[in-house]
Amino acid sequence: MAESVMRLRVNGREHHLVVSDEATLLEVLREQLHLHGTKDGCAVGSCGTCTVWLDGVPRLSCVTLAKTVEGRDVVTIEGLAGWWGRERPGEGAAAFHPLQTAAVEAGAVQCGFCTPGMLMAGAALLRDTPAPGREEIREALSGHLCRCTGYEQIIHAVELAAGRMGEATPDEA
Amino acid sequence: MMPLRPLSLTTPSRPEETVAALAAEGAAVLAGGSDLIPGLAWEIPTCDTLVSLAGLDALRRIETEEDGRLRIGAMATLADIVRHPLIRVGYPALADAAQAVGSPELRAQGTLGGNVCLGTRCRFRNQPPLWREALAPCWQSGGEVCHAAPAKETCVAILSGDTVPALVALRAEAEIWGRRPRRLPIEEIYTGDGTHHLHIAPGEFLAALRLPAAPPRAAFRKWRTRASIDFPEANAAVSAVWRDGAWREPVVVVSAVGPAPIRVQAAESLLDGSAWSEERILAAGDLARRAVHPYDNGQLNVAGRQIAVRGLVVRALGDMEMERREPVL
Amino acid sequence: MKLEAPSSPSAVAVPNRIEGWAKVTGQALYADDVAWPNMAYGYLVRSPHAHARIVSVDLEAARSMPGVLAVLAGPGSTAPYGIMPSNQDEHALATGKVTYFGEPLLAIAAETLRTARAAARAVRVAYEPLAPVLKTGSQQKAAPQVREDAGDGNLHKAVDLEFGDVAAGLREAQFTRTDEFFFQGNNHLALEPHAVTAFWQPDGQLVLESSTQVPHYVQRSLARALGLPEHQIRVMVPTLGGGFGGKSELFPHEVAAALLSRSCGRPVRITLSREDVFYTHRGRHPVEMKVATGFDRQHRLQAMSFESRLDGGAYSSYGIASTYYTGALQPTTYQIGAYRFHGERWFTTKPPCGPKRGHGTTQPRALLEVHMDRVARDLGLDPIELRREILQPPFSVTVNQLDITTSGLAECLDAVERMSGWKERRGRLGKGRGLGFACSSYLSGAGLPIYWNPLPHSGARIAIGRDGGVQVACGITDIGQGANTVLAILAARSLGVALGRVRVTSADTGTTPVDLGSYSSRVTLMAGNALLTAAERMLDLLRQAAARHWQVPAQEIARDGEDFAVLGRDERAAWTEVARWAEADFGPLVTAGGYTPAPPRGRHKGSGVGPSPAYSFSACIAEVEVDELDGRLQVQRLYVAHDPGTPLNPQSVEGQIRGGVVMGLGEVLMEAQAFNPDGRHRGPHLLGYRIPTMLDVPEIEIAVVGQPDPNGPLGAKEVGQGPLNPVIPAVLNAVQDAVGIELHETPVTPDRILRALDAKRRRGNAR
Repeated sequence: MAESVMRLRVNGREHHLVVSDEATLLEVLREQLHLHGTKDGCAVGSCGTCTVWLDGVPRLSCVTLAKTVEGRDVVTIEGLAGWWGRERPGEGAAAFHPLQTAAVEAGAVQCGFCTPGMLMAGAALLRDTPAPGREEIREALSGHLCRCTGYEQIIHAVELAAGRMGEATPDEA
Repeated sequence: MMPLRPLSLTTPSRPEETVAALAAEGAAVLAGGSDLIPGLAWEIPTCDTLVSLAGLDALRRIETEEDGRLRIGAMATLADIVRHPLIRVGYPALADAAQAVGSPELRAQGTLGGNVCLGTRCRFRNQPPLWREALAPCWQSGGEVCHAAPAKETCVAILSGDTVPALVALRAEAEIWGRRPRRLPIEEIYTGDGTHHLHIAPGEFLAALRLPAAPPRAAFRKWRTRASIDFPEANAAVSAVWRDGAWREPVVVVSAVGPAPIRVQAAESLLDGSAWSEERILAAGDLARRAVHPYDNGQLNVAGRQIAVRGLVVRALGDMEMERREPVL
Repeated sequence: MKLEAPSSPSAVAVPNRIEGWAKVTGQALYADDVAWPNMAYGYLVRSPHAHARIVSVDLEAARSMPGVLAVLAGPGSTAPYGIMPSNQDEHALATGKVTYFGEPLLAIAAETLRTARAAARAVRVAYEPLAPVLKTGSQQKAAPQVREDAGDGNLHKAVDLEFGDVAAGLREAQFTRTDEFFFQGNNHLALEPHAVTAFWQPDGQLVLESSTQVPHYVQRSLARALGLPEHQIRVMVPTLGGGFGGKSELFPHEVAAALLSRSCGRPVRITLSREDVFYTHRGRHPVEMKVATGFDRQHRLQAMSFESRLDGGAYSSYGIASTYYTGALQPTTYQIGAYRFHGERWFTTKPPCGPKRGHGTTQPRALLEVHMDRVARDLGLDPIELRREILQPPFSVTVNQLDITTSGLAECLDAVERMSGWKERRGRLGKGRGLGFACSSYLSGAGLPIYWNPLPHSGARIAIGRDGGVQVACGITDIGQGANTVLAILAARSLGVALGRVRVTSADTGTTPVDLGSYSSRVTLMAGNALLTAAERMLDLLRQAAARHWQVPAQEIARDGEDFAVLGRDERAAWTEVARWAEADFGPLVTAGGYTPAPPRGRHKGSGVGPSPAYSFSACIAEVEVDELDGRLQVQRLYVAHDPGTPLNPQSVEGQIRGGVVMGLGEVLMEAQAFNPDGRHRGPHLLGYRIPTMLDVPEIEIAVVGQPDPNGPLGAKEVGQGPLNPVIPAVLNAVQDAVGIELHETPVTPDRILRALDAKRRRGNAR
């Protein structure tokens, strides 16, 4: 087991962590940084619950070795609202990303275990595709299993958030 | 969460260091890791050193070479492939195949090289450690039995990369780096033995795929239970050149039914030198079905996988013929 | 009252989940997230054989490893336990022999999970493999005994019920038909794998935080398993990541964590891997079934005989109840002249089966509805019309002595018929496409508790603080279905306060009144009724205090929003002020209520399974296309109607319907807890056991119908389980309509369709 110090930026904060070569990013986030919002549903990349952003791209932290992402930027569900706040300078800190609010309002949350991963993928979609169509949403979230909702209310949450985010930035259009 | 077994990771930044590291006992290539890491979680690969290709910047590039060929670095991700304009326009069957792999997150991580070199899969081997604990070791595990096909003397695990048939149909060439770099048609890197399914020696690695400057038209199809995440239970690609009022040089390739892609030469002969009528396409599908003999090592049943091959080939040929008659662009 | 819910969620104005914000920000802590100081990690060593004698166990190498805190061999528990009082057949850790692949036999605690896993590799267990037992009934032939403590042979239980003369009914029928079907078993697949942290404290108190649906039963069973007084055990449930029946009894990892904690004096966490969950299972039973019916000239259902044979796996679990349930609810939808049921449950060397959403009623409903469809086909009738003539009416008694109160079944039929355009479109969709119909019904909680007692099934306590806050305490578990939110809504509505005043504490045997648990769709009805009683009592105190303050009779006290007022006078006081008056008058404000269902009508053996205070009703029409080239069964659209009585939280009602429908879709299209001939699970992971992704789910149109039920709180019935049941037969019937193949088993995977179509083609060619 080779252990060494690595740098990792998580939710806007720089960390120096002692990490073994075989440690997964999920393990580092949950066990070392105690960011328990990122879930472990299958451990082998088949369910999507462990999804975080790596340099802004949704990635499965359970099948990513932490050492392979040394020095890069990670955002977890705990940091999504903070990221959103930083994205909109002058608007002040945000308690929620619009998708988080929409997810609650649309009934997209039942047991909540898939929710963090689902929202990280959904928020990335909304960032890259401001008014995604239904098929784009389904495609973007197709690696995320949910057993409670039957998915419809999750799709709707993304649509709801997209609508609001579109309304919120008319000046930039 | 169950931690992986201890191993060491090295990320060389120069090809010669990579070659040296890979020549060592117990070394394995780490590309995107989307298949290797789950394998390690289940203690399947026996390696103790991972040699990451992430330090070799050249391997990430997708570029046109001087002779017009498209060179795709092995570390280009499947998502890179899907969205790359040159591939979408010039080699859409490859983009379709890359899009068919896994899920968006897996495609953002998985690489073309990784998909081409993907370890063969078998439902008697790709299982968690406890599952295999009291099972007699199979050919691939150093034993002398195949649980899926007891009569077989070699491993019949499934080549599960979706890009493979598309690359074969597109007549891609593999570029292998090692002490003596070499290039060969992609079909020739597969041995047909599920245990050592690649003609890539220790100290070598797949560095790039090169696609012809003027590729044939091609189409890809995949068969599985769900519309996302699942590995193929069978897949197929076809290609041909439309010249002088007829299809020429057709390629019909079926994969994910054995350890190597299967060229269906009988179908190719049938399809060469004419337009494709519905009858001809159906007949080619029947020939493809007869050319494959899956074993009971996938998730779906053997008979179904064999019958499905017919449908895949028929659909892929139909896609090409339809597009010829009514071009999309 | 017609409660037509809009099909688009956007139009639903609703109270949101009270815990929603915590779940979307990552703040919600699940059982594997709760970090306790000085916590050690537990690991279970599981059997790599489906059936084997344990010859020897050598723990020395493991025990001497640095960082290893405890290594325990079985049985661990001091007395056998089990969820059903008559079947106490489980121990925490196997001794003597193992009876399913993955059965735990050793438990290890260590400083880290890595060390625990390494220690697990260092133990040496010698096994003498025995023949696995994988089939049921006469197919077992000379199979070895699975449970050596359970009499001769592997028949766990055989049950018989008969109401009226079925033989005569079939004999005298104008038309009879028989069908057989095999319903494959499947797993709940809650996204959260089970986890527990146990701390056997130095003062002798045992505290567990566990992902369970039934903290009360876990406390009770654990007390038995460990020989402790119940009051020394406290079971708490953190945020729970889905249950669906899979977390409904005491499990080996919970007992083992307690024992490991006692051994090492530290809190011990055990989290199951996804693979472990498939071995822990307790999922839907595989059932072989046969139905025969006889109809008279007017197409009335004169007689029905139903037989089911359940493959139970290695332990009893809820098995007796599961077996009875396969015969209990056929009569709740249809009037049947005479009804006979024979059920058997067999032990096999597989992970034990138990309750899953629709418990025991899902499998027989699949066959019954497929059968009815074929009867209609034989008689040349519209399948909906055939049913319409024989529906069990509202406020009636079924042939098997079940009391039906409200029934929106007829409205369900109307709704799906209308939404799908059944009359206009059926038979006109074109090649490979078809429509299929089915209907069903389900319980709103079981009429009898699992262990006999005269106590309330649910208790709720309301306290009003000096701050004006309403504290609701109830033993229910919010498994993700929104139970806490429903209680908050009921408390707010019944007390006349804003939702924001209400705080719900649940799922903690140390602080909340007993509720039997989140299973059998009982929570809204039973805990809701208990809460309404507590609320009435609380309001009474407040009214009395207000009356005393204003010196008027209590009946002159009125409400205006949250405020209290006096009828016809200009006196008013805020909620908190009145609460303080009441506290001054009566002391701290606490009231409680309990709910016990009325005793069931039936007095026969087996009459305890089936009765419920109220039944929900559902119907589904599936629109499918079968691709004859690649065998894909594309469900293009589902039309679902459900009668949940009053929908207390329309958003949750919609969510439960959609979730149940998609779970049913997974069961019919792809899910199978299947085994190799050696007893190994075919694929204990999410690539081997596949559930639908977002791309596999069609549009679902929903109608919510029905009337407020007199037995439900504010008229509410169940919604959590019922809507799953009709989906499976609706899809099967649609396939027959589309391509004319009769399917006789689930799941309907594309390989099976291709094989069936191939066989059909060959039969056609042969003619």
